[in-house]
Amino acid sequence: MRCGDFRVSYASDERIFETRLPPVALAALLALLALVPLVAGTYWLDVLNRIGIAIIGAIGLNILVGFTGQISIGHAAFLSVGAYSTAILEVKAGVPFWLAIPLAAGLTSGFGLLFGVPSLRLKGLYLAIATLAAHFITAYVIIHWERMTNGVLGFNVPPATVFGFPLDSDARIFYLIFALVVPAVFFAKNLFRTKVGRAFIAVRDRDVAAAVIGVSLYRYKLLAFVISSFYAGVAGGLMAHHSRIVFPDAFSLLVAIDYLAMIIIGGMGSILGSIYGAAFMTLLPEVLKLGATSLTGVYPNAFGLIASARDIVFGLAIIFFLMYEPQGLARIWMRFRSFWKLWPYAY
Amino acid sequence: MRQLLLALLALALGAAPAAAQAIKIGNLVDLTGPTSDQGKDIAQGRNDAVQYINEKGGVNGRKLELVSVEYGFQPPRAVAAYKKFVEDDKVLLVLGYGTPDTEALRPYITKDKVPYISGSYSGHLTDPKMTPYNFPGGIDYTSQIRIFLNWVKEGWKDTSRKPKVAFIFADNAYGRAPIEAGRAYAKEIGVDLVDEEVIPTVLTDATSQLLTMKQKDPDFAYINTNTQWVPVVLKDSYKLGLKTKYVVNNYGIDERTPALAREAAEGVYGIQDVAYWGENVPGMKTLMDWHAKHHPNDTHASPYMRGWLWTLMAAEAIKRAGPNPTGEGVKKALESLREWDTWGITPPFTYTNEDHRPTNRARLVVVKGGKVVPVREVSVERDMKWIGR
Repeated sequence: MRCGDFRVSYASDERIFETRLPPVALAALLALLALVPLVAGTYWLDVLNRIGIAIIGAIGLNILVGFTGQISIGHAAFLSVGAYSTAILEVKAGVPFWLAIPLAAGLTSGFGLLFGVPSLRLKGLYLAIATLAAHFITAYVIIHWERMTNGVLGFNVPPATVFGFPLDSDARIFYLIFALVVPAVFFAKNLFRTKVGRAFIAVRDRDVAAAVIGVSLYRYKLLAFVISSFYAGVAGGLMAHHSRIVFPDAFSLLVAIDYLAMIIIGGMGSILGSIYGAAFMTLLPEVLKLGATSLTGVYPNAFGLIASARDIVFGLAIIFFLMYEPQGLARIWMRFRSFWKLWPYAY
Repeated sequence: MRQLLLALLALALGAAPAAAQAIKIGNLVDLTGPTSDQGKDIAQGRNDAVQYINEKGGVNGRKLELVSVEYGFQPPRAVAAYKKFVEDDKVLLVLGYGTPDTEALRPYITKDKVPYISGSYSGHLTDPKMTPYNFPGGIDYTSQIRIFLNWVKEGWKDTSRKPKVAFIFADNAYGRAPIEAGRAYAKEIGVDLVDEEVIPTVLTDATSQLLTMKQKDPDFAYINTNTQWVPVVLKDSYKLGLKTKYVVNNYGIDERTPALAREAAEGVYGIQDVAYWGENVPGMKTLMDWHAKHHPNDTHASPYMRGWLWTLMAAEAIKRAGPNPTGEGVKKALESLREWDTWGITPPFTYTNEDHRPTNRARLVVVKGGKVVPVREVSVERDMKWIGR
């Protein structure tokens, strides 16, 4: 059994996987994921797809909030810019989706850059309020720029096509979503092994100290906004393709709060935490719904009662995590893992 | 012993399909969103009606089963629910809900051939050439706004000028649904549309909109939003001392309005599609008995009747579609309804394969002495020119 770090060369220090098991397990997991659409029903595929989209969005937010310490409640706005630009590029300009999604994500980055500027002067709660402005300005533009966005009514997005093969079912779009989730996770995971990622963490831990040791706050704060909103842009583009409607109400302030809850529950400053949080927040209402549906046989009004319970459970979960497990599900998983790793001889 | 067990197992497995399978119906409702004032009673009504039908032996010997999803009035969640209904649950038909989601789902509904009875009465769902599987469950919003404009015109005695009207509507697909047709119809019959005010879906204050409207001084204003939010408009208007007379569409006014808006509600008119709770119509006794037997401690308003109405309509169509109903069969059955008696909850319904407007009749109601009282029946021509608009 390994009981310490034995790094004797730079190569071993820079290795991504420290033991041989994780890459094998990961490959097995990916292979398993690829088989899911063959067996899962539409309903669970739909849930999985929403989890996949939420993972990309949550990683984006975690890079900004969890790793760089720049609080943002404008994430719904970034998602909406991604979704609307993808949809408009495809519907109005006829751009194919494989080009539209990166273009839209680039556009969202520019948008993030713009609304990241206040972060140079503002911190904490003040920055949060500044990003709130981003949210309301975007919502206003989307509702009133009717020629482009069709206002409050929104519009339908045709399914993406790959070589004339329409991605019009949940099983097909599943591959598109997870084909993007995998690189998104790897990029983020690797980001924090680079100079840029370390700079982000330095800015978060103490920006003055970071500036003193030569980290350009100007550069890295804005870069965090750019990368974060690029992720949001991709997630938004996938949302447009998954629900195939873009609609202003889909990007309400509650969505931004949901994403913040994801990274709080999952674990701030943890890529794996973003995944757990995204899965938790997407699954919770579904599990409650299933519970309600199975209870309706016994008690017909359970359905109505549990619909309102969702928000209460969310609220309680957030309080619980903030008080007892501020590092979220990721931390719980780590404790669980190390317990079994060392069991029965914990030392 | 093992053989015996296997035999029993085979028997159990074989017996299951022998009992007729329940017919699944998708049930989409909003219990937490901005229209939950309607949704709670609608959901209750649908549940009760299904239980009632099942107690009476179901439809063609098969039980009905509601597959329910709560969607908070958010179209993307409605799309997810719809996919689940059609692809996983394989429902025969869907009892839908609001205008934003029903309008967004139009292409899917037409493609999947799933009859879709909606709580949305949007005029955009009434043309079978465009939306063959959409069945709005009541008099369409476009007919309602035409009724309003006709009523204004008929009652207008001042020959020196035309009557001036304003539209106040919620900033969503539901609020906006009849507005374009309303503009065109006002022009056609010679009523001056002097102002349009857009109010947020969730309304807390309408003062600024009403102050703008006050400058245009309309004689009448048509309000197109929900029962929960109409009192905000009425109270603010009362506070500002506006002289405008209000007419509210079917989802904006019901038994609860006088209690919510108090003196501000006095003299406000409404267009109503269904009977009120406890009103003397043929089916009401069944509903009230059911209520007294199963949940005597709650209260209901007109949305509860709509929940029953749409479920009864679905059951009737399934019955007419025969023992092995299909989506197409149910659609044809719905289109065969001619002056179908809705237990007196609404005027009789008629759908044809050319016109999915169920009726052209409604009731004009007015708030008087803290109560909503009917004035008279109102109707409008079934003019094909306004179909699908």
